[in-house]
Amino acid sequence: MDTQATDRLEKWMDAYGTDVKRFCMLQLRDHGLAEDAVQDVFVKAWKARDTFRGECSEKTWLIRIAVNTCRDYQRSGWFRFMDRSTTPDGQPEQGVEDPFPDRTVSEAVAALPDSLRPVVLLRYYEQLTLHETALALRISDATVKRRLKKAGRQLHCMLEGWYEDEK
Amino acid sequence: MKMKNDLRSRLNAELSSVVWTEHDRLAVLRRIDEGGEQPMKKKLSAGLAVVIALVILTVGAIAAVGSSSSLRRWLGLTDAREDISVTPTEFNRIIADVGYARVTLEEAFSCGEAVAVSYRITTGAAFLPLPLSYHDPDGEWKLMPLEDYAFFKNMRDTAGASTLGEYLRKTRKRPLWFTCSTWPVGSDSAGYSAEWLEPDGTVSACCLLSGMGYEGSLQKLVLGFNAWPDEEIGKHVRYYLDGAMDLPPEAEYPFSLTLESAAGLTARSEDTVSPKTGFLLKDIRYCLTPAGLLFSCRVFPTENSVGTLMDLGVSGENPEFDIDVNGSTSSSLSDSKDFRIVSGILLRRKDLPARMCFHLDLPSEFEIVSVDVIPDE
Repeated sequence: MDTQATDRLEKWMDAYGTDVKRFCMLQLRDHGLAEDAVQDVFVKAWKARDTFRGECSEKTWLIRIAVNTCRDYQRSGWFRFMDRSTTPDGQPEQGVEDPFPDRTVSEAVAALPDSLRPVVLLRYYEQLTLHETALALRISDATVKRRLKKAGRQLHCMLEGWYEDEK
Repeated sequence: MKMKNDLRSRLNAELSSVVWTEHDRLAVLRRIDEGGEQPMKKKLSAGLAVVIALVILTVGAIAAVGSSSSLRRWLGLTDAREDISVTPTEFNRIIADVGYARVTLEEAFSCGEAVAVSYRITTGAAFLPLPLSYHDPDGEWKLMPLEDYAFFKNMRDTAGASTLGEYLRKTRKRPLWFTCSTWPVGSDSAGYSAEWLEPDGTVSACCLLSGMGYEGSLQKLVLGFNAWPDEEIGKHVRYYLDGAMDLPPEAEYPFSLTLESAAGLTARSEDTVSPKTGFLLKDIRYCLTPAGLLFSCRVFPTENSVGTLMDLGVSGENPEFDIDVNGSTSSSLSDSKDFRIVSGILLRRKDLPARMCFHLDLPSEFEIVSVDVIPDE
């Protein structure tokens, strides 16, 4: 492996590894798959490193790869075969005190439909701009807005008491 | 409409246990070093030479298992499925954790009186689906007669152990993983399978019994078994399963599976190359077991190998693999009119080759197929 490329990869992994892994976790709702997926993301990024032209931030580029990788996983027969409605992933490991046992929000986000979840995650979790979100998902800005609105309504129902306009 | 709390910081807090690890970093670098292949392909090309042994838990004397309908009856499944549905309520997820291999409860579901649970080996996206079912109204599962199994006999006679956990403790073997399973109503059997490291570093595997039972009602299944992390030897772990969960629509009940060292493998056919995937199938063997016909082969990649093995065994939706059954012409498993995959598992573990096991449903019989993934030399 050439040193320069490796250094670049290491930099990406250090800077964005956790972010991308959490994104995969929220998308796939499965810790094992998220682990596989995030590794795929960086392998793909390394392979495609020469195609990165700096037209967007490195993070946006990596997230775009993550979106596609998670989508591939979700399309796989195995993913569809397994019902994840009661998977315990995300629970703290045995013997390890969970620093944040309340998972209200992540469960609500994970419960969003596949079409809405990535929009919320990219825009509000990964904090991409509206346009970057649209680019990453290959949809129009207007569609992003529409989906955000729809997701907001659904989250509103699921997260009562979480919105400023509520008493 | 704005959230009171910042979504990003909140999600970060909730997912604080999900972090980029050194293991992730090394895995990426290793894969890149090996050409950036998928984990399975990487394993295939990495020169790994050891086959992961899995245990085929063929418990209970099944007199006549000749058709898929009798299989379903055997499994306690009725055509009209009434999902009892199972949700783990008192969760002690980790069954065994020895640092590099960890088994956790993945999910549980039921149909009629048959209950299935899946375990995950967290070093890969692997599931071990095994059926469980109510058996004894008094709450204990009876032990199956094990006299025919030399290993168990040796375990009792030589090591003086009556359970696998006890055997491993006494012999100071280091457990890697285990699964537990019981069998449908009417069969006097329950069991678990396990794999462990011998003192010389080799991997051994077997299946054995564990104590399980129901507590209270049919819908509260208590699985009691031993977990064997080194520091927790002998600790008894109990799982309480009840509640509700929908059955995956495609689920046809994975039921047995595992193991390479099933006794009695006999006939051997010629090697064959799958015309569709290009994989070379070697050491094709058959034998009749209490659970039916067992078929096994080893898979080698060739220059013309195509496709990903990852989807193998997934309810027949992914026609990516051919196999030669009973000497007939190879054909796609899922496209074949003669048989189809109804269940399967793919087992992967860090630094070890992988094995796929799947169950074929044929018009007149069924087969349990296990495929070792072995690198080409």
